[in-house]
Amino acid sequence: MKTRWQALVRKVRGSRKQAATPMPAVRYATSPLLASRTPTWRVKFMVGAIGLAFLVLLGRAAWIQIVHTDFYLQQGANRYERRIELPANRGRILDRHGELLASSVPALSLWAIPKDFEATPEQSRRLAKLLHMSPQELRKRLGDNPNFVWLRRQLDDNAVHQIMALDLKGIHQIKESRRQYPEGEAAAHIVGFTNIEDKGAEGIELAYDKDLTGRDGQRHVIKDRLGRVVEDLGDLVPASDGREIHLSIDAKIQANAYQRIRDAVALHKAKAGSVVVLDAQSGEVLALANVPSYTPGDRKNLTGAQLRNRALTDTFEPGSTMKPLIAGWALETGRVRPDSIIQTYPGKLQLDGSTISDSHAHGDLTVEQVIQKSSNVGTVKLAMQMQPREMWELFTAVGLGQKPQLGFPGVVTGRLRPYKSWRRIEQATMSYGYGLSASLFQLARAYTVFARDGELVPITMLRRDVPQEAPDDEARRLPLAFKGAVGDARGQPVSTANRHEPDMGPIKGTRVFSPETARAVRKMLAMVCSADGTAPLAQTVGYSVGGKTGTAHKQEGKGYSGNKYRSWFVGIAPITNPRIVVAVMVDEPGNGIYYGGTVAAPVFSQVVQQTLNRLGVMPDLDVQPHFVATQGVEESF
Amino acid sequence: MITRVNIFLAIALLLSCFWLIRTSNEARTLFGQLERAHAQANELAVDHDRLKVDRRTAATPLVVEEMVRIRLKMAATNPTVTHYVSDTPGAVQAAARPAAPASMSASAAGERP
Repeated sequence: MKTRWQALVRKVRGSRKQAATPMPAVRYATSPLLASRTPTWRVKFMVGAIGLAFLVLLGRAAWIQIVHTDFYLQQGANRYERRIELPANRGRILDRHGELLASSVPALSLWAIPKDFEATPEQSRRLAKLLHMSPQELRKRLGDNPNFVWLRRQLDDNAVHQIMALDLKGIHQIKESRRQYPEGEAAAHIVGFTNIEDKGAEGIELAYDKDLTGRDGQRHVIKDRLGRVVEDLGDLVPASDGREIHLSIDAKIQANAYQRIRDAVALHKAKAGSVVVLDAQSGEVLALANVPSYTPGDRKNLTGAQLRNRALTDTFEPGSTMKPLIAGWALETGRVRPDSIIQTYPGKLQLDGSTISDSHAHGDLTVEQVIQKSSNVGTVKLAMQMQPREMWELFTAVGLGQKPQLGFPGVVTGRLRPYKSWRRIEQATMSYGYGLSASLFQLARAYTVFARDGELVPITMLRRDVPQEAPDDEARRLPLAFKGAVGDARGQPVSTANRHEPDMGPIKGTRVFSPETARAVRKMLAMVCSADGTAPLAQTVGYSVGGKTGTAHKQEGKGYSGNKYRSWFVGIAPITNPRIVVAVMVDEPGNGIYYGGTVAAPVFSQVVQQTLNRLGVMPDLDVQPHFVATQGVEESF
Repeated sequence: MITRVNIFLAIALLLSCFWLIRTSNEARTLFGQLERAHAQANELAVDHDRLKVDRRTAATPLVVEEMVRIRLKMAATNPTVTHYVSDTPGAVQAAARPAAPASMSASAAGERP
């Protein structure tokens, strides 16, 4: 082997020496290098190695293109396919007539990459001004995070366009959604508001957040290098908008109620006030207003006092408004008749060492007059004929000490202690509304037992029937979206509380009193509003009304304040054929007038007048026509 | 003969390719137009919603009441200035007590069907 190799090398060297001489023609065919015989094993080895390499390549190709295709297909797709988010709209909130109470509109937000931000001092000043912040604030914000900061979210379009016109590096815009509340402060406590992330934070927005929130969709497309969609790949998940909420609130009644209580609070220099208007027939809430209020779209400097939905969350001792319940139960159990005489002279009653007194001595009063004159002594004499358990069951039956089933955030239970722990004096004071507590809403609901001939009606903030504005007849036939309903624009049936089948007829309530007792108490309530009662200012033009005043010292710590009062009035109208229940509360009237009959009853009167007019209720009282002169007639001479 | 067939098939293939390119381009152009139309429809729908909200904001009961009371010097209706009639066909009845004179109803601010 070695000698063959050396011979071969010698031949090559010899040929090189020859090459130094003038170049002869190369004769490859006779080249000793090529002429040498290659061993067979080497050929086979090389062929095998190359063949193996090709097999490896083929295997790899098969692996990539046949077996393991997903990864590379995905990698390819990642380079030209895009998934576009299809944002869903939050559902609207509408009043009972389909008027907008809350709706979402697009809004632009600005964000920045601080490390890319470049601006002259003058540009920075202008930017800060357009963002409604000081240059120092802007500097601080840009220093928070070098990669991303929000400059301002949900700005006005004009401001965004002005800022983008500055053409600053590192500032970008993004489209978001902003909630708008056309009714503003009038319906703020009912509708509530969403936070910056479009999640419900208060009111109906919070209570029905799941229904209102939509589900974002997705679209699979191919985009070109300019970012334009050039092909739809068909893999579409449509956005599902949030459902619409049809409230039972009437925007006009709501605004009127808000105005009236706002004016009363201002007139009496009060701390706060609330109004609740219920439809006695259907149990729907027509209005619920509180003062102070706030503008849901502008919540800067919002205080807790403004935010409180006092009608639902504040409890107080209901005072004299409890008396009709006691009188009603005394009638119901046959202990007395409306004309039974109760001795209240001398206007004071000693019980277990405590003195219960009237504002002044009345002498002998009928049961009706006990309510009309709001006699504590007369009411206690009725109540002490009852067992504590009877009174507790009565109060419980009308919803006191129980949370109203509204599904509304912050609704309170009130306080009603178990009857077993009552002392005699406590039973006595509870008969005229001290020693227990309830919200204004609970009181309004309790009075539906008188308005509905003895039945306590279930209450809802949602419409009970099909919205008239439903787009097609089929939607109306569906068992759901009727009012109340939480439904989408096409009336899709969805689960909801407070559902009522349209063909069920009148709303069924829970019977507490007989119709005769309810009518007898209504007569007493009407007497309260007569010239001889405690609330003549509750009267309206053309409509008979009835109700009960309440005035109480406010609780402070463990005792009662000497000069702070709470005044309220709960009433029914028209009293001959009840349609609405209205409850009014004024907290801490501050200009020396504090009786419910003079502070709250006028608000009741104004609210009833406009509400019944709005509902198209015919007057049930004779009225003197009032001529409105438009143009005088010329006298002949 | 075979050569001619091949040439014919080659030309047919070429034409088919051009036609395919043209059709693809046309489809893409139409798709682009459709996309723009969809985007415009969305924008118009958004504007419509925004205008509805603006209209409602400009005409809430509070705003209207302030305007009619202060600027137009109007007053709220009550039964004394309202002539009530039944909506039952053929049974027009003056339901207010007492029946309001006809001259009152037209002039009263509280006219109502």
